Amino acid sequence: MLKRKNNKAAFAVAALLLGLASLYLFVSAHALEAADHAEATLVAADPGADLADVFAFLDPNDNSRVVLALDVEGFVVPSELLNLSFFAPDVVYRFYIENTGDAVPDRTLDITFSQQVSRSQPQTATIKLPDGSRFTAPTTVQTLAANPNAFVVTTDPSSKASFFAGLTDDPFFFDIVGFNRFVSSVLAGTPDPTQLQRGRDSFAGYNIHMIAISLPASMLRGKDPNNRIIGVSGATLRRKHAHGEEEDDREERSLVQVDRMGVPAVNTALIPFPRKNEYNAATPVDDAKGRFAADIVATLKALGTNATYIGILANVAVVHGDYLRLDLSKANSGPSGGNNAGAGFPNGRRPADDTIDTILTLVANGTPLGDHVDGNDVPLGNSFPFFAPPHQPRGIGVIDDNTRN
Amino acid sequence: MITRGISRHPGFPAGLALAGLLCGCGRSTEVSSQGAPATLLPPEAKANAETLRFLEDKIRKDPEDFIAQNKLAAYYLQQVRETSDVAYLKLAARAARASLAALPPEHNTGGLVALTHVEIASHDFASARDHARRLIELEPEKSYAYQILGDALIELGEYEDAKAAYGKMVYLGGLQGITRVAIDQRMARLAALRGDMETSRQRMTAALVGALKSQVPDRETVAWCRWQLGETAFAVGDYAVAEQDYRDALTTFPNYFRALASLGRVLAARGDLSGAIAQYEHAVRIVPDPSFVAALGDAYKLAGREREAAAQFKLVGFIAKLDALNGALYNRQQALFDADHDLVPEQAYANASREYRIRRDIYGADTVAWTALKAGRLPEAQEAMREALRLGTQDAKLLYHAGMIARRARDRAAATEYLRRALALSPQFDLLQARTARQALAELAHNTDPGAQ
Repeated sequence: MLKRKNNKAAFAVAALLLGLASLYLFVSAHALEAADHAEATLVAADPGADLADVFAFLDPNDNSRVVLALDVEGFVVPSELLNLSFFAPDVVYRFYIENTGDAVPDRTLDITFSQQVSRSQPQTATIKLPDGSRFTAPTTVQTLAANPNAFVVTTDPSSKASFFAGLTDDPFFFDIVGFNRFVSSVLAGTPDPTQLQRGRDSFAGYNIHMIAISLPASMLRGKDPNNRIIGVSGATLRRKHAHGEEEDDREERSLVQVDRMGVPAVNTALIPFPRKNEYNAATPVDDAKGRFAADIVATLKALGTNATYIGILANVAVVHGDYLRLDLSKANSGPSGGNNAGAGFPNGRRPADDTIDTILTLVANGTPLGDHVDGNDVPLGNSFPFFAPPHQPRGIGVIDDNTRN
Repeated sequence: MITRGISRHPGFPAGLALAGLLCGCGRSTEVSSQGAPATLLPPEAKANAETLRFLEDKIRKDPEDFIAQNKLAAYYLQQVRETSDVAYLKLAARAARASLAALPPEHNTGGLVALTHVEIASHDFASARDHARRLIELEPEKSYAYQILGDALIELGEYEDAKAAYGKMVYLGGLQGITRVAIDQRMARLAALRGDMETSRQRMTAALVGALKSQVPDRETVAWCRWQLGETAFAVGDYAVAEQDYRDALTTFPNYFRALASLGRVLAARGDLSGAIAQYEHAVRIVPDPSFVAALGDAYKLAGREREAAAQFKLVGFIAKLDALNGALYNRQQALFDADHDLVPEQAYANASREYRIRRDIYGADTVAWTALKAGRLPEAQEAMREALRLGTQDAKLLYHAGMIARRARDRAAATEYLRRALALSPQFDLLQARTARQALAELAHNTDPGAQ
């Protein structure tokens, strides 16, 4: 629905909000009369392929395992879930894994889904692991009942990989409006931190389509045993489709990248809006070549970030491509997918990490700065997939203001 | 809401059938434009009501929640589309404006998209065109902004630019199934405007097949395609096919207001006047659209029920005056109604001309021509009629108007030719006007034409 990743970019320019905006989707504004004019269907976005977030962290219950997750098509209202709770069967959901510290992805992990044949039956996901082996797993079916269905986690006996796909609470938390107004005030030369006092979580109460996989870290490690850092980014791809053509070709050559996501805030927040599509269709190699560096530096300079912190941020997301970089040797522990200090973002990204405050602080040259939304609206899980169950439709007359944390 | 996903079984609404909602109403005793029988598609009324409540709660707590405002605007606009209720259009406008007040378009393209859709639905096509261009500046590589631009331009009569905008839409889009549906619908419309009814039918059939293949076929989209196929069939006089298409639309989406009235018209065309009256009475109860009310009046008149006809005709003008938005939305229909019924000719011509200054599409030109003729302004009628026919559109009403204007200009050959073509294309194109056309043609043939005096 919307380009929410933009939002996350939080600090970046207002541009980011833009993204959010495209939330609008597919609606139709037919005119009122039959005889005069009757417009056709309107399509505004590509929600099924719209990547919101990517997560990469060590399983806090077993640090020999890595959890990778990506989510798409956010801002799902609980009562919308029966309409929306499936994964597009014509999209390839992909994790790129980078092992050598350059920007070139070394392997891929692809997830595709079967057609949804009924709202009450799961889709079948096919997971193609980096070593080329495959397994299948059902998605978690949604319900409009007061209580959500339990998460269905499937573990492949041969690879030991575990998989989950279904609707969850949207784990991101951040006040988009307050953030944007703060950024606008900075750009106008009258910085106004009080704009960050609203403390409203723009994502509270909404659900999102989540794909998560837990697998032995050994499957993601590179050939060099000394290299303990992996890069992770997400992408969505669609088959290119000439008009009227049948579409059963999932071969690589026919795939078009629709969206990508690595470090929150980079993918789109730091990129000026008119170049976002170009960025989404580009690769981490383009990042490393500096294709977007000037845009990012210009954005940061406008925000008053000094050379030191521009360097830190550029190193995170530009110099070696836009990947989350996860150190496999850095112990992760605690509830909600891990919360011990020093082990989280920008070391990978855990569900509970306050990425926006981290980025705001870097942009503010190390002075602590935040948006006063410091945690998710509902408790996260303590075991795989670590996300919270989806919000369910409320009873009549139940007004639930979850937007303050 | 709709989602993508392509079924391997063309014409078979996968999600639906499996949800056990197949009603098996294969009522097709006649050929419909789409091979598979129509099926009932489920309304999302309950889910929609809950979703609206959720979003309305959100904005009550935080009016600056532009995400909720944008989603709300989208839902309200869908209600407008399904019910033609102006109240929802006003709610959509309020949500779009609140969204943009919270965050300007540079940070909120979704709010601008919502506003642009509201403008199109409110017939403010010039603003919609300008805002669509702003959207293209903000998101130059997004297909949808060109779609909105093309939709505004086509209503403004800027056909070449509209075609170019749709070309960009095709170039940038087309990866999603539902985008291809939207493209096919627009290509069908362009083809119909240039008089290529066969291509139009093919593209609209492709749109219907695409809409049915969606993972969760949207009932309004499917019904809209079926209704449009009916309109195409009606335009070329295929009344049996048109009737089936309208019935299919109503099977998909019971009481779909567009199909209700069109079904009344085709019943009348097929000679079932009492059926047509019952159908129009039903349509007017669902949506009191002035053109439905006027058609009901015409049907009463044809049945000799003069008093009931007069009551309906009175109602037509009343609806347009209910509020300013109604006036803007129904201006063209009002002008055509006045001209058809020889009422307030100068006022009708002034209304048509005022709208045509901004909205210069061929149907606007046709309205100017027809009202000018009734107002005794022959040169203005001739000039506007040339504009109305400039694309070669095969529409019996346009040809009928052209014939009557030629007749007044004493161009007997042209008048005869236009009227013949109109009646050959769709012999019962309008309850009362088709009779007038036939009568005029007969008089021209017998050289006893009082209208040419």
